[in-house]
Amino acid sequence: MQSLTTRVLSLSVVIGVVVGGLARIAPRGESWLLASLGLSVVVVALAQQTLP
Amino acid sequence: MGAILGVIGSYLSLELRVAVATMAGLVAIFVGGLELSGRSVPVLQLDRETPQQWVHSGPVKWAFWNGASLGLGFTSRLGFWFWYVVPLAALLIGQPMIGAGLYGLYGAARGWAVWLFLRPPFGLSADELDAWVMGRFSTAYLVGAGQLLAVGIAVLMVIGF
Repeated sequence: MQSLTTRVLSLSVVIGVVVGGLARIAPRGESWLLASLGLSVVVVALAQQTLP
Repeated sequence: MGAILGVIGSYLSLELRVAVATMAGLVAIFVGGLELSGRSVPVLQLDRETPQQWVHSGPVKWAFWNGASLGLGFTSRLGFWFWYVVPLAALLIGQPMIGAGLYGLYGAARGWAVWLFLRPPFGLSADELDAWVMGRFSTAYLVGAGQLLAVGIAVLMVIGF
């Protein structure tokens, strides 16, 4: 679990920095933030299925 | 709900929305970081299942109220801090279409996941799939915390500094 936690932490930081960077500098950059937000919403909605 | 929040947000000044989004981004990084470091942060929520008596009100009414309750989120069990990103983003973006889209995406993903249990893949029975999914809460918890951290970092990079 420790290694999974480390991987999730590292991946989250990389995703956050990449999406934030793209959203800041790319043309129509806000689309990257919105797309990332939308994907996260779907992932977490699905993750909620694990709740009793 | 998302569209309503978007309309309300459109009446808020850009400065206020940026300030709130900056604070929310900081909180997201803090809470996501805490959860990923193994400290559980209790979610502010009603923490309840949808009422059992709805089962007896007929399949259509039951499906409607159950779906509405799960889709709205705060009326049922949340489990993840990330849920607060949905209404907050709908409000702070301040565009009804985007607010509706985000909320719709959340409700649709939550609702359509039920079909997975009605028609389980890979030859699994519904009970087997249920047990497999329920057994993945700790992984889902980490993923939820990771999403919160990532969104917090991205938001702060865009508007915070």
